[in-house]
Amino acid sequence: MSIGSRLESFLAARVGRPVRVSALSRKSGGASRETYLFEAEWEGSEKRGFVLRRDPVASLLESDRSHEYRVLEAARSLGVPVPAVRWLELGREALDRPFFVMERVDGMVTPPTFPQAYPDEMRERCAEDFVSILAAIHRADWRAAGFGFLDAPAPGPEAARRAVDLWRGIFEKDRIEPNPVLTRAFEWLEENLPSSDQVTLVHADYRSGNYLHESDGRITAMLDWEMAHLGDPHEDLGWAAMPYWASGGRVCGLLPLEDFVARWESATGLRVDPARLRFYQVLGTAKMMAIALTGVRNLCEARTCEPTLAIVGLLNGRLAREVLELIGAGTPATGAR
Amino acid sequence: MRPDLDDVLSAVQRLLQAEVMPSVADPFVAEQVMYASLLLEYAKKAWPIEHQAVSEEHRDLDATLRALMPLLAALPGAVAADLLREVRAHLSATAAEGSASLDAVLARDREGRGLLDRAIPLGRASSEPAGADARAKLRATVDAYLGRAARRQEAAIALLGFTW
Repeated sequence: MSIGSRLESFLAARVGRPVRVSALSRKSGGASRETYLFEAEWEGSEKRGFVLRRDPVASLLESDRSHEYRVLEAARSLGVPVPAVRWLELGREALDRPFFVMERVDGMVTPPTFPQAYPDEMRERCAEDFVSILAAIHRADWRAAGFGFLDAPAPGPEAARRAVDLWRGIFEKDRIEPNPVLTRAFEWLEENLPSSDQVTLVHADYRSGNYLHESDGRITAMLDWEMAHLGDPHEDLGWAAMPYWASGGRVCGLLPLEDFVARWESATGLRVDPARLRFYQVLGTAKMMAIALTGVRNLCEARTCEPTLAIVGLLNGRLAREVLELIGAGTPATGAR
Repeated sequence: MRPDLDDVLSAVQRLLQAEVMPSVADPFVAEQVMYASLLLEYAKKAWPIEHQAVSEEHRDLDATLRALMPLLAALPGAVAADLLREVRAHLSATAAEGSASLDAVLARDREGRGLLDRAIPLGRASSEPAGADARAKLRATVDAYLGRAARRQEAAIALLGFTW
């Protein structure tokens, strides 16, 4: 039975009448889950676009569909643009693996850095929304907004400690060979754990490539909330400001770092601590390397044959150079033979 | 001898582009085929210079481990002493192997990087005055190698011709 027919059966059980699914297509990208676009109609409802996000057999990132579903549900109340989630299925009977369905939002997807060839007006509007949505996430009263199910770190170094432990654990679990660059990066992170007095909602994958936008640059949806948690807002700032996502001297290809920081400070009323920003740039780069190593492991152990996992794995060479530069280790000035 | 590796990879690439791709209706599958072709192109460019890259990495790693030996000897404690013994054994085994297969060299280098990995925590700053100079030199030696290795890796991925 095809995935379309099985989806029709699942939806029919949920809406209580026969459902017709059409235009089902798998979307590329989204390497941590399988994403399908489809249209569905049933008696009493017009044909509408939906998105199915299903656990993959193996991926770059092992994440939890119910966590993402609950976060998306709560994020609607923040007034930030996110797709409306409709159905969550954690069993394996319907489509072999857990999945959820959300409403489809119109908009263009960009690569992981905003293309420099796009018009300046489009980039400027995207940049404006990019910062204001991030500020809304960080300003949010997360308890009142329904994020109470997330575990809040205590003020102090706990937010940084948790983040380092999480990604070091994933690195140690998934590496299939020694990786002294990542070992050195985690050593630096351990030695430089910052203290934080702010606990906010953290999106944890806030960058170009994870939003949809109109042709005028207006952002219509912020996607990929699967790693969202409570922590230090510098984690999102540092991740977005990683050299890996930059192009044309702009954060995520959108705006210079100084503007990014100034606009975020103005929109949140919070101050950016440069040392913490650097810490989270290092953490973000190490995290991306760890994510890539999970993909490499799945590829090398033949759990998947997706060529993009090999490409992301190869790009770890660039991340290695970037993380060493961020921690001031092994640069040509200090390391030339 | 023909067909050589380049001939074989080129033939598979042409097959994907000329025969497989036109018959693929699903855009997702078509994209996977395109990425597979990109990886074949990378393999074609990387293979002829792979032996140079492996040999440069191997020489650098050996020289770095050799440079670590007096520093490990100057550090107090059983961890440094155990690691020194293993580094010495690794270098002796590598030297005794002489000309080895590519697989054997790669396996040795993985082992060498594992030893380097274990040396990293020994470079951690400490209030203990004994071995302070050796700790600092150990960290600088490891960092310098990591920088060179990362630049080599980055030069290799430039062959991929793909980035964000």
